[in-house]
Amino acid sequence: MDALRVTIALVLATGCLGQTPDDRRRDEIGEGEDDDDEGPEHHPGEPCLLCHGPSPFSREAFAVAGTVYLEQHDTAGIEGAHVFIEDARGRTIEAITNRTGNFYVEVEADDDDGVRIDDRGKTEIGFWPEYPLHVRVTYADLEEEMLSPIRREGSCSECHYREPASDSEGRIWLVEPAP
Amino acid sequence: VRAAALALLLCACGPELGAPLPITELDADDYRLHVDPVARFSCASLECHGVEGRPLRIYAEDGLRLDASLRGEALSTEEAAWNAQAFAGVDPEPESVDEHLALLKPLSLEAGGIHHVGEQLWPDREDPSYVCLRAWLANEGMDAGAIAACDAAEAALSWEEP
Repeated sequence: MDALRVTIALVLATGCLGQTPDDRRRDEIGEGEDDDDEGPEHHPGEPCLLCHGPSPFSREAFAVAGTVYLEQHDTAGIEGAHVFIEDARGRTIEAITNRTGNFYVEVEADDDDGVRIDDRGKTEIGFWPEYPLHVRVTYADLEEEMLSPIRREGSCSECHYREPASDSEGRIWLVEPAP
Repeated sequence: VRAAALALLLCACGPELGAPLPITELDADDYRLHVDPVARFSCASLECHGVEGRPLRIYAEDGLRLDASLRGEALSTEEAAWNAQAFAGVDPEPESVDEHLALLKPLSLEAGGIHHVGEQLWPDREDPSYVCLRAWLANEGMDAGAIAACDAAEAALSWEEP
């Protein structure tokens, strides 16, 4: 009987907690999109680590992930851009964007310095990168280097979200728009 | 009854709730001219202190802007004034400038700093960024030595091509 009471109390308490702000943001991602694909090309431009970041319930997690565009106001990303990330220990991680411009660096284990790149935007690494991170992106003969180091945030889109705004630098893009 | 009366009297002696706490007026022009480049590259990114709601919220050229129309522009005088208030407000009554929270948080623990989620950025109190920020927080004007420290810090932190 006591166990039943405790269970009911727990269920009621959980119901009172409601959604966290992150839960609400997760629900908003992909709203209105005709997209059931949960693969590596889904939800370009969204903050990937919101769903794929480190969690006590998963062994694998993204360390860094984002979407690369050719021009500032493009809404479709570019395939084949190379993203080079150097961590505080001087280890360089390379990732190559997939068809929607997405790339993601996934920590598979925490026991080697290996970097394995696939052709769908994924790079597997065996270590957690140490911040700060320095990033540059190349595509054909274009190259852009991020001016400031990344100090804690693995989702590029947390700071580079869609159009420039008071709290966004705008997308990661490579070509200056024509004047 | 005596204890309750005493407790009520003690409560009456405390600060008035909701009363504004006066804070030091730091020089916003000095911030914009000398301190902003240091804060911009080491503190004010959109993932760190460039976030509304943080106790120390900092506006910066490539970070949080007071208005979206300012994106791509240098720090405005109004943003500098708000930053000056934010720095003063994060520790309104430090025992001394060397105890100011904005100096202790980025300072290494070995040099007397305190835990900072965004890393211990300065190894010691000789670090140019520390010297620069300390001179400004001291609110006694920026002398040539302080300005030189700000310039050295900016050169070390900046990623912009010359």
